[in-house]
Amino acid sequence: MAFEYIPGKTLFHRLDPRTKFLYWAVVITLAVSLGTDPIFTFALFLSVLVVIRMSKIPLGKVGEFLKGIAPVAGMYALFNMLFPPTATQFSKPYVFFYVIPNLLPITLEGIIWTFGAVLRFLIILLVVRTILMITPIRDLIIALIKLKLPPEFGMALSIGFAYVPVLIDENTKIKEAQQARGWKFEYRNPAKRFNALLRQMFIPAIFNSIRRTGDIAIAIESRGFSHNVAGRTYMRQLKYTKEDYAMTIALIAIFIGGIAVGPWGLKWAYYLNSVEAIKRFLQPHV
Amino acid sequence: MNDAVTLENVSYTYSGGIRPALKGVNLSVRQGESLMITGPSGAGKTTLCRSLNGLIPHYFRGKLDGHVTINGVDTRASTISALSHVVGLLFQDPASQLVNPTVADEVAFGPENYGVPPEEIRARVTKTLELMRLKGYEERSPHSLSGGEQQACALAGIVAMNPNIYVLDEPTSNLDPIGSSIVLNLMADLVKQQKRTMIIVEHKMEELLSLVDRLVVLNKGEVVLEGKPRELLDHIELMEKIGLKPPQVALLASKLKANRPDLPVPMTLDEAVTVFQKAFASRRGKRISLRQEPAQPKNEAIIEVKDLWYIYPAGTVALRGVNLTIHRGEFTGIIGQNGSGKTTLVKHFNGLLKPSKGSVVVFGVDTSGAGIADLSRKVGYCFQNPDHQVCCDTVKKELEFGPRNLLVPEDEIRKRVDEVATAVGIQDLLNVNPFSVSKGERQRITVASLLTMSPDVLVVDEPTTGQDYRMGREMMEFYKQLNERAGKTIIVITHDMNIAAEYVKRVVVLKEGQVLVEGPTREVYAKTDLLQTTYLKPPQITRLGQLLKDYGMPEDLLTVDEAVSLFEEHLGK
Repeated sequence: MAFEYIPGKTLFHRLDPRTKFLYWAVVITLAVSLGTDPIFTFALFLSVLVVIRMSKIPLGKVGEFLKGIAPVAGMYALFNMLFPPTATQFSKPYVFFYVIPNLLPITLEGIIWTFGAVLRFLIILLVVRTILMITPIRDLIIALIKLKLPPEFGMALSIGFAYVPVLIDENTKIKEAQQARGWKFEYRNPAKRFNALLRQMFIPAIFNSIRRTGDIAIAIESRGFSHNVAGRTYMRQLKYTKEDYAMTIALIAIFIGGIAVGPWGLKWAYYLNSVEAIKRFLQPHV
Repeated sequence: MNDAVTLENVSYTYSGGIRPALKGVNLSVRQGESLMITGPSGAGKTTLCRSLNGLIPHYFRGKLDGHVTINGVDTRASTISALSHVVGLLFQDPASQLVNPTVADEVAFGPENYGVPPEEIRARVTKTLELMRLKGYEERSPHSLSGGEQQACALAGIVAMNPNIYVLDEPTSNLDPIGSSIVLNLMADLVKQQKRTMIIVEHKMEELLSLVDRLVVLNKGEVVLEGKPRELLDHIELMEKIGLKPPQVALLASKLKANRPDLPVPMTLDEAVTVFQKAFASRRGKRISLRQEPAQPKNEAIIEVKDLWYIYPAGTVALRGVNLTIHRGEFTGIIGQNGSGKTTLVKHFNGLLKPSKGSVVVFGVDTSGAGIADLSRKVGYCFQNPDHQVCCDTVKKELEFGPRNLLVPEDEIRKRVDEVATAVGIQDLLNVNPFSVSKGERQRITVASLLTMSPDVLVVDEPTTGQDYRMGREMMEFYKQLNERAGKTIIVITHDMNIAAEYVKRVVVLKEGQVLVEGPTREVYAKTDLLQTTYLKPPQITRLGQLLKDYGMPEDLLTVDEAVSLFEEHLGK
């Protein structure tokens, strides 16, 4: 399932969703600002894995997710390996071999670059996924409302999440109903295929959605949603605990530390330096 | 002031509607009274419910005449949200009223909207979930529950709002027998414990009549009958005439009454047993049985299922070693609760699913190597909800869709469309947009669009769910004709034991992915104890026969009509 919540009582489950948002923001900012420095990005990646482990998320769930994004990650890796940004090129790159002679080399620098780029890609996706797995959707939405998202939008988001399984089920039914009438959707011609999909799948799907939207509107009105939206209460109360304050301080420290060692501060985490270091380490072996 | 709800000469026409949905309705409901409203489709039942919490006139704008008063307040002068605080409205389809990611949030939703303090909401959620027997489901997605549990969850959402008046609009129509008994039991508890005003719209008179104080029958927007359930037993024939399904025992007695004016009309099965025990007192021990019907001739086998197992990708084992043979020309019913594997089984007949283990052979072809399109020439599969299928802008194109996919020549297609449209009675609709006709008509269009593919076998999934008694019977009558006149093999999936009793010649009962029992309908229905293990109840009339066994009655009565002639005979002129 796309938005599965895995219940638990670990530290990261207990944290206020707003603290989790801060965690998300810190990791994403660091991942982007470290500029795919392979060593520091790897360290950040490890920290994400540690959080996953501490949250007691079954490894199978993580594996499932990674398997799902593997094709995209693979494409991303291939593209980066073939075309690393010119700014990262050394004047004399270490070339393994040429894909197209004298034009498209596979270089050590390219591979190191790709390593960091793919890790950054995984970090960004894994962090979001982890937060969704350890936080009930409703808590996230309430946190967003506390952060000034209008409650109507919150409700819309919440309904959206609630209906994902229903929509998946409905689409399967529509597909099967059309197949039962001899419809094949594996046309070779992509235009034809798209057209068939549009007609036979989307028309019933849209018709059903419109009807359902009306029913949902009636249902929520009949339970007083528009009574006084601004004055509505929430059963789930968000509360900052000592853990949240401690985590916030830790996250701020990590953020400042990360920026300090990164390209804006001491420049320890600097792509070219790291590449040099890795090359020196690998030199005898390559 | 005692009346919780008053309708004074209320008429209502939907905007764009041609005839009024309600016509001059006068009705008052006392505080604490429980009232059942029934009537055929199009009687205005849902419209009446919508007028009680202000959806009419504030959401559905149409033309409202007369006055609807709730606790002394005219709904025109109020708002939906103010009225909903007092009037809790539960709808027919649980799936379109569960709007929250978890069960607990669903129950909390109403109280949250009215600004109830969080601690109080938590207390209410705990209490209500206990009352609705949903404890332990707090963090689950409402949509992952079974149909009955979903409706119980939706009901919990209403109960937690603590309304003064409950309005339940056909809460069991979309549910299987287990689901409906869950919800009916909860409703019975509510009626007894809470002493609130209850307005229940339902078709199931057999289960509900003894629970409610008063019954109102609507037809074509008007109140045609009103009174205590027992008083209305004298009007059973009228109820039957307008397409309702009065308790079978009451129907039986009122038909027998023609020759025996002093025979009391019972309301429940228990009462009927007492009444007939008395009437048959002198006949004790004398056996009487139904005339033997000739067995269905067995033609060649066309679908052969051997040791079929099916495991869904997520790991659910849906079928566990099913063996079944369907012969040409049979009219078979596949019966079972939701989740018993009915749909999974028939999806193997046209190749939508392929066996995980075992084999399915359709007209001599093993389905594991065959395409769905090829199999669909032989086996037509009509889905439950027409809205999952209709995709063309005219009915004609919809009928042409299947045969065109099968590359049938154009002149042949034209011929089939004309023939089928006439047979199904939709020739006037050919140039109409299928989305603009009624759901009943769309259901016919769906069947027609399969018939133009000219399959030998027609599989129909739940043809009567969500329809009233008369419409359900009309559909079944149509399949019966297809079976008898056109020689089609019909397989009907249903959980309606009554409708199956009347039409289906052979019954296959599934339980947890296995065939529990199968055979001629009469034989299977006589096995009440076995059916009970999967919570299926034979029709009331069958059970009456069984309970009167000592008085000579057979255990395999299927319909009221055959019971009438048998009872006549047994009572003597």
